[in-house]
Amino acid sequence: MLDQQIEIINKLGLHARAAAKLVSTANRFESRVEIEFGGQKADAKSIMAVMMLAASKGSLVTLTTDGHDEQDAMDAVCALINNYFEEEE
Amino acid sequence: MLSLFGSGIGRGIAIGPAYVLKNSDIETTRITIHAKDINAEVKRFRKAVFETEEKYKALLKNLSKDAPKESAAFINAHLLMLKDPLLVDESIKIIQKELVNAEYALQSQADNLIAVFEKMEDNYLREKRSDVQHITNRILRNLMGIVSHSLDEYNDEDLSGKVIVGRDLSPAETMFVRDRKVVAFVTDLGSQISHTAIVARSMKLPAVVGLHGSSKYISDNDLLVVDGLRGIILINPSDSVLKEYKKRARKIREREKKLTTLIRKASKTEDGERIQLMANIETAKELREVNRVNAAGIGLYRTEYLFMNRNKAPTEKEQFQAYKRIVTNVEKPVVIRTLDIGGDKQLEFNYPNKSSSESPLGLRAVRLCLNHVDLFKPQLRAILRASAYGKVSIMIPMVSNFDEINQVLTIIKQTKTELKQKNIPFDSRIKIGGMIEVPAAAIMAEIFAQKLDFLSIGTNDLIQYTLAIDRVDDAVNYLYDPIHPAVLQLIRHVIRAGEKANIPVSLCGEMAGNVRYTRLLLGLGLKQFSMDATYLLNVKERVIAADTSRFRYLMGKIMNAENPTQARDYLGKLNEL
Repeated sequence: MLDQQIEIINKLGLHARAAAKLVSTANRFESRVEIEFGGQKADAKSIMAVMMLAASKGSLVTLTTDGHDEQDAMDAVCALINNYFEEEE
Repeated sequence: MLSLFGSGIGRGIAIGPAYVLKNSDIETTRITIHAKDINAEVKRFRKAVFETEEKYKALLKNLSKDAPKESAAFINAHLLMLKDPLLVDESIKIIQKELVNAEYALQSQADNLIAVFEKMEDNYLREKRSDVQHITNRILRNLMGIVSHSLDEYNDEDLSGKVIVGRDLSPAETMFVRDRKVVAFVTDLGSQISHTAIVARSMKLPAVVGLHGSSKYISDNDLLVVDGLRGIILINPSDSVLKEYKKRARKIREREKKLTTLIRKASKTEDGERIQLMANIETAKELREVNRVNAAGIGLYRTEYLFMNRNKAPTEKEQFQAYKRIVTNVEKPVVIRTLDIGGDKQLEFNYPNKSSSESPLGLRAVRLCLNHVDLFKPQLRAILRASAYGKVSIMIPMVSNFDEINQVLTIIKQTKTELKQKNIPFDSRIKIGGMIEVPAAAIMAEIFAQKLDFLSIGTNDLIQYTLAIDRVDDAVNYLYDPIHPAVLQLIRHVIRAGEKANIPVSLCGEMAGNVRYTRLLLGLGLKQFSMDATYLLNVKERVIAADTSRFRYLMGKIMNAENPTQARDYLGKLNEL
C-alpha cells in the first residue's frame, strides 16, 4: 500500500470536470485508489464521492493506492493533479 | 376534426404529425419483494443501468462535430455517475437488505446523495444534485418502461417533419430542436413575444402559442395543420380540409418567391427616404437568410446563446472566434449586444446573484454584468478584438441611468488600454450604443444621446415595462399593446432625441418586423429597422410602397387616440392609404 500527500493546484479544485478525470484515471487501474481530505475518505473510483469532498484549490489531500499496480496508479493520479487536470486555466 | 385558436406566429402553414412533449414526473412506490426474488430484482436493475449506459454511449458517438466541447465532457461525467458505486452498488444493497423493488431502492439512494449535495457550501457542487436526479430519472425510465418525450441532449428520436406540442418551450429546449427539421410549434402558454415565438420566427417556422389545453386535446401522432397567420390549429382534419390547406401552403410559398424580386431593390420610401433594414440574429446559422435577403447589416446580435446550455461561461477566445465568424461572414455593420440574461432567459451555470435575477425587474442585462465584471470583461475584450475584422458596434442592454453608461464606458476604456498594451488589434473608434427598453431611459434619451454613439429601441421590453405587463404571464397578455399612446410617445421621443444629437436610432423589437407597424414607425420618423431576417422582405415591400409625406394627418390621429379601438381604426386607415 502506498500513500502520499499532494496539493490540489488547479483553479477550480475537484469540481465536476476534474473529478471526472480523476475517476477515469483511477478506473484504469485494478488497485484500490482512495483520496482523503478533511477527515473524509473517498473511493477515487466514485465521482460523487470525490465531488463530495469539495476539495478546492490549495487543499492538501492524501492519496492511497493498494494493489498490484499501486505504483502506476499513484504516479498517474499524481501526474494528473500536478498537471492541473489538463484544464485550460 | 377539432380546431383550436391561439396566437399565431409566422406566415406559413405546416402540416405534420404531433410530437407531444411529456416532462413526466416519475413516481416510485415501495413494493416489498420476496427474498427469493432478490437476484432477479438486482438483475433487472443492472439491466436498466446497462441500457441507460448504452444510450449515453450512443449519444456520445453521435455527437455532431461542431457540438461544444462541453457537451462531450457533460455526457462523460454523467456516464461516470451512472457507474458510480455510490449510486449502483448502494442501491443494490438497499434491494438486498430492505427487500424492496429496484425503483424504490434507487430513488431512496438518490435522495440520500441529493441530501449530501444539498448541504454543500459550494454553489457549483450543490447544483450536482440535479445531475443525480437526472441520471436517476434516466434509469427509472428504463426500469419502468416510461416513454418520455423531453427536449434535451438525450433525445435522439427522429423529429423531422413533426409538430412539437408542449406547455411552453424554454430557451434551452428550443436549442435542441434547431437542427431537427421540425415543422412547427404549438404551445399552451406564451405570446407573440415569448421565447418560443421568437425562435419560431428565426427558424422560419409557423407556430401557434398561448393555445390553452393544446396538450390535453392533442395526442402523439395526431395529424396537425398549423396556420401561423391565423393562429389556428386543426387536429386530424378531413381530406377535403387538408387539401385546401395544402393549396394555401403552396400559395404562401409562391408569395415568398415573389418577394425575392425585392432583394436587389433599394430600400427607399416612395417619397425618397432611405430606410435601413437590418437583421436580428442569435447564431451564425441565421446568416444565410441575412445574406439572402441582402440586409443592411446586423442591427442586433444576441450573444446570450453562446452562454446557454453549458455549465461554464465561454472563454474570451471562444467568444472572439464566434464574433469574428459573424463579422467576417456578414461584411456589413454588426451591432453586438452584450450579455442580456436574467428574467426569462436563465443560464445553467452558476454566477453571483443568479437566484435574484428571475424577475424582469431584477438584476439582469447590464445590471448583472456590472455586478459581475468577470463575466462582462471577457465579452468586451472578445468584441473589441473582433472589431479588428469589420465594422462592429457594442450595444448595452437595459441601461436605465447615466451612471450605468459611465461605468460601462469606463470599463470599455480600460479594456481598450489593456489591449493596446498587449498590441492586440481592435477598432479604436468602435461605436457604443444603448438599448432603450426601460421607460426611464426613453424619457432620458436626450441626455443619454450625448454620451452614446447610437440608440436602439427594444420595444418588447419597453412595452412590457411601460404598460407594466410581465410578458411571460399570459394572463395579462391582452393588455400588451404596441400602439398604446404612451409607448408611441416614448418611441417618438427617442427618435427625436437621436435626431437632435445627430446619432442614429434603430428599433429592434418584434414591432420592427411586423408589417402592420411599418408605416406607423416610418411616420414616427424611424430610419433604421432591425428584425428577424425572415420578415425583412415583407417589411421592405411596405417601405417601398410608403409615401410618408401623406402620413401626417393619420399619425396625429393615432398619437392622440382616446382608446385602443380608435387607435387601431386609424392604424388600419394608415395601412390602407
